[in-house]
Amino acid sequence: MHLKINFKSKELNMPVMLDVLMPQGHGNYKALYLLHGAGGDHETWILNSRLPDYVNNKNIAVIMPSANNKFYINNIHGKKYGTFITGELINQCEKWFNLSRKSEDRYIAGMSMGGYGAVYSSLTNPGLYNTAFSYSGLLNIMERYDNPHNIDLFPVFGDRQDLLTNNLDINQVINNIGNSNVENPTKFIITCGLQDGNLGMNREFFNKGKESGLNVKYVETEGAHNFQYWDECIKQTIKYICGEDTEWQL
Amino acid sequence: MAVVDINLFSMYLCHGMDVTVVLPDEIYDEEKLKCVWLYHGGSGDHKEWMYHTPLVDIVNERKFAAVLPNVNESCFVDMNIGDKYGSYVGKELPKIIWKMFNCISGKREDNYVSGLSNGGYGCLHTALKYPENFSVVGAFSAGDKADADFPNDGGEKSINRIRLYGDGDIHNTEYSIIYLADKLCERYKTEKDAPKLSIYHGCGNLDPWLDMNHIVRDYFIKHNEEFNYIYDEPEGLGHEWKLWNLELEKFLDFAGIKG
Repeated sequence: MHLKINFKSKELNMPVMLDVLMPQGHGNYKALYLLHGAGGDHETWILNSRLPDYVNNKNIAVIMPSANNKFYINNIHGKKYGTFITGELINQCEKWFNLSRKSEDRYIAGMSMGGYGAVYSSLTNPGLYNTAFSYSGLLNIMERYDNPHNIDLFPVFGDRQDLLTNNLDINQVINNIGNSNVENPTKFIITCGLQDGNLGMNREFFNKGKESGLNVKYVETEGAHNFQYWDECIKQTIKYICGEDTEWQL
Repeated sequence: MAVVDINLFSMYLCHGMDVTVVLPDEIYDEEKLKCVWLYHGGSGDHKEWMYHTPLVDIVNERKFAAVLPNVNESCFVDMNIGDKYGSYVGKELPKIIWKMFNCISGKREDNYVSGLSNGGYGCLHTALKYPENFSVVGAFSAGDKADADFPNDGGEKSINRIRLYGDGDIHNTEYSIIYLADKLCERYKTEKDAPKLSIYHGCGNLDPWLDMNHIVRDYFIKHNEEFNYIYDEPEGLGHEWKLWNLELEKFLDFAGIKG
């Protein structure tokens, strides 16, 4: 079933909207926190992909918040979207609904800005999620700083100088994660289309991630920065989470 | 506050339906909230209680979960010609809600069903027919449909009545509150553990259907051993939201939902 939730977020100190796809089954569901890209909101995935079909009759709840173009992190000159996504949102959903509370049943995924959000959340919260999926992720913010495409990056990251040292760009975060003692470290599945402008930064993240000892897999296929590609990504993601065979060569 | 708008598929109705659930701000870990079902009136739907009362504030003050179903034109019954909304709202939907929400209690002693006008009739109908699911009733401006005027003249009112209940006298059918109550009384004679109901009934003294409310009142007063029944008739109020706002708070006090 489809839920639209309006609730008062303490972390963000304002009411927020969520779209949720909830199974009509026996409970103890896996949870996928699914993040949209720049310009999108809590409705984006439902309006632009066949996600409801893919989760039909599966035991996965999909939870879709809005980013308001704020990259899902604690903003330098703005609200605490990071603590909201990785703390409050999870705690509330697990309190309200019949979701499994185990990390092995919790997943995070997103496209473009949402890919950054999924990867950043996972790198900074070791073991919180079973797997993080990034589709066409914006995994190099510095590169974007010089070509912002209508997004105001300053409230999120500060100015270009700040970005060199504030540990918000993924490249720095990887360098600073060190050795985490988590029992089941989060796995990363990074995908990108060959025709996508973010291809370079995705290949770069995969290489750096491998060097740093991340459990990271990388999938490149035909595809561009659009929902034709991302629809296929979410389709494979749902199969993967359900333990079914995917088209990915992992 | 959390307001959850749900769109789900009903197996009884074979189509999609909308329900709204209101939860309080503060919920403890593992807490199972009491659940108050709020039925709409004839011209309303699952949003009606939200639009005309400060329900979100009341939920936060008194700390309970509110469930607001929509049953379209069915008056909360399995229609004579039409869909089985009574089975949906009394049997199917409670199970769906209790299973979906970790924080809502599925025990009958924590489930309260209330409603206004058609929903006042509806909540009595649901509780008396499915007493295993609900323990306390809040019926506002509620008459027994069996006592309603039925001029079988081919007019719109009469056509609607037939679609809901058929064209006969319904006093001895499960469409009648008093018939269902009598059946429950029979159960009490032989079944030691048959589920008991507490009933709060309120109606303004200017209500156009006051006499129908009095018939219901008189029955339950007569059966005060079988039903824990209380009746309230505020002066100067009619079939209106001022009355229903007032009665909702009194009912929640009666039910012990004080936060």
